[in-house]
Amino acid sequence: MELIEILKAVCSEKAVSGNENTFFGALSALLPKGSSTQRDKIGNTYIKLGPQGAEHSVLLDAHCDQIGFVVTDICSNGFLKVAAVGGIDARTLYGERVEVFGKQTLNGVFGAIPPHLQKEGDRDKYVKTEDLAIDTGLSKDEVCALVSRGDFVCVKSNFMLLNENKVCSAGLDNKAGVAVLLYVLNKLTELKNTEVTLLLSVQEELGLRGAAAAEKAADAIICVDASFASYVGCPLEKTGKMAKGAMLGHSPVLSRSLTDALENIAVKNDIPLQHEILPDLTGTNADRLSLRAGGANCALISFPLLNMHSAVEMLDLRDLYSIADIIEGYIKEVDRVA
Amino acid sequence: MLKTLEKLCAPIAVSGDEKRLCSIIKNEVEPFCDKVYTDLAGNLICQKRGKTAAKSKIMIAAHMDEVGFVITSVTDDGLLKFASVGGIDERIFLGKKVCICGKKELVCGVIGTVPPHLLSKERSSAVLKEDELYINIGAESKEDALLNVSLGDCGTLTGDFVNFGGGKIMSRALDDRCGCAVLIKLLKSELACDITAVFTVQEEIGLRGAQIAASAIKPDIAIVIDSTTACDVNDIPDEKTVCNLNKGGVVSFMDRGCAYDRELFNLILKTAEDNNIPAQVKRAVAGANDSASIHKIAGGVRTAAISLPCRYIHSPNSVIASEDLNSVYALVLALLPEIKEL
Repeated sequence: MELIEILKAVCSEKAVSGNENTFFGALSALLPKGSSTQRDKIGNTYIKLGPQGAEHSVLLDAHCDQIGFVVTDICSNGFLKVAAVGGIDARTLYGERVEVFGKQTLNGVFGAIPPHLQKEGDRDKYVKTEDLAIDTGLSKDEVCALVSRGDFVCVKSNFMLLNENKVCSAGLDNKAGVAVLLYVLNKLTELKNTEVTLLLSVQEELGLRGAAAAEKAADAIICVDASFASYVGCPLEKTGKMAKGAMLGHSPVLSRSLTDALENIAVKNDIPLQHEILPDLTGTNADRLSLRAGGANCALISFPLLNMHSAVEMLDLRDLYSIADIIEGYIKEVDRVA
Repeated sequence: MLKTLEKLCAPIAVSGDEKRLCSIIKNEVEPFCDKVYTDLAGNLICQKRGKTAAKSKIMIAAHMDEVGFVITSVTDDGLLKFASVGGIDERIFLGKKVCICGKKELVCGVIGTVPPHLLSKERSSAVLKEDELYINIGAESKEDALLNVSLGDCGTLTGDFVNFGGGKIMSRALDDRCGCAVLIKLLKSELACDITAVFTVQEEIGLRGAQIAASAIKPDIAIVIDSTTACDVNDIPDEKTVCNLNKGGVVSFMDRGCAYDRELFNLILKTAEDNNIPAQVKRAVAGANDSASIHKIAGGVRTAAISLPCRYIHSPNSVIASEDLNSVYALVLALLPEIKEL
């Protein structure tokens, strides 16, 4: 299956942090033959491929949750009040469409306030999430029959291909990470000496909780997540360039030897690569996966993402291919060394 | 009428660039009218005979144009700068999808942001003004962008037509495709008297098309079918809602552009009552529509406005109740026998 098709399928499955239960079930068609699947108690999914108990083991991690909202209250007029789940860019919510996952999926909107009811100065500040409410068009009784407190809500953003390379969708952080690792996994069906585990971790956006709880036993752990793409007004040193390849993370918490090994694969095979220098923690699951008892060899590869945590996250497919090529190359090289 | 409305919401028709919508409307109404033509401004003017001639010349207007933006320049990196056309709350722009009527086809893009993670607290709370925003169409350079888009191309925020809860509709441009849909249905109906229907241009940039059309038509009586702010939303007390969805056409006594003809105003309310058609009085002196220019031309025109209540007007997610479309249609239809003797 082509990467773009996997990405589209993964993006169509909404999984707000804490509500990832249905996510994995929808992916079964995307798994390689011969893989086996386990769930742990927090909800992480482990997809295993290759000979059990093999000489080498590699853990690939991508968090499968996305930012969103949870319904906190239903107002007397049927409007829904919500709390943010994860760090949504609240500036983008004004006049934004959403999907409410109640007993059925409802269209909703964070409505904009008409000018005659705006006070002076209102237009100089964005509306806070707690001051917004979702209109579903339904009355209180109608809403209450379909929606309960605790139900999840996502911004509505259909998958869109801007041209042959640029993809736009909500939730590309980190559905693109999930997609690229599923793509890689499908190329690893001939492994002889390596057991590969794909960890689809939960609750990353709530503070790396799934990764903290996850089973982390492997010789090498590679995390794939979204990072910042450079844009007008962004500090260059904190961003990667779109279409310039995978961003290889360098941080005190990451393994230098594993990071070097991945870089070597890129150099040897002419795979586009850029470096992301993180002077402290990475802010990704790598921070937790590397905290394994006794320590772990952990590396981080990211893709540059524009408009992070908005409904219009955008990436370049070529960067995903770089990530796929590096990880596939690395695992195949490990596998050759008996 | 919903089918028609959906069809009308599909094309982009930013003020000054209404031709795509105009041709759709023309095809819809031409078989039902006696004469259909466009003037130099782009107004679509349709004459239709009713059962009898009216004593006075009656014009019914709805505007075709919608708010949007125009591309003003392209950066070396291939990002597009834009200026809004018509009144859009700048806070809506950030993180939204857009659609541009490009050189060959529609071009999709997004209005990008620097994520809050990379901004200081002050910068992340300051509202980004139009001149600080860019549209990203995925182009990699200025040349690349200019293959698909030209300066002066118009576009809108994306807002697909979808069914909404409780028999409502959500879409961009419901202001005033709703009015156009009602007017089309009127033209397809048997009318009590002759009318001139005008689908106007450039309403959103100063009610200009209506002035041009009415100056030529010189009506005695004008009825404007527009969309108006319904603020029956969360946290807004009842006395501030202006009008409510599902309560019928909104009849104005006065707004920021027009003190409406009081006899017509009363007649409309009486007609609604006599015929059991839902209608409501606009409970604010706010906003303006084509009436503002029409009522002042050629010695004055007796003017009335019957509007569709519309939530989140001028946003890509405006919401109307389909029942109100029927109410407005029924009310205008029932009004014609009453005003033909005026």
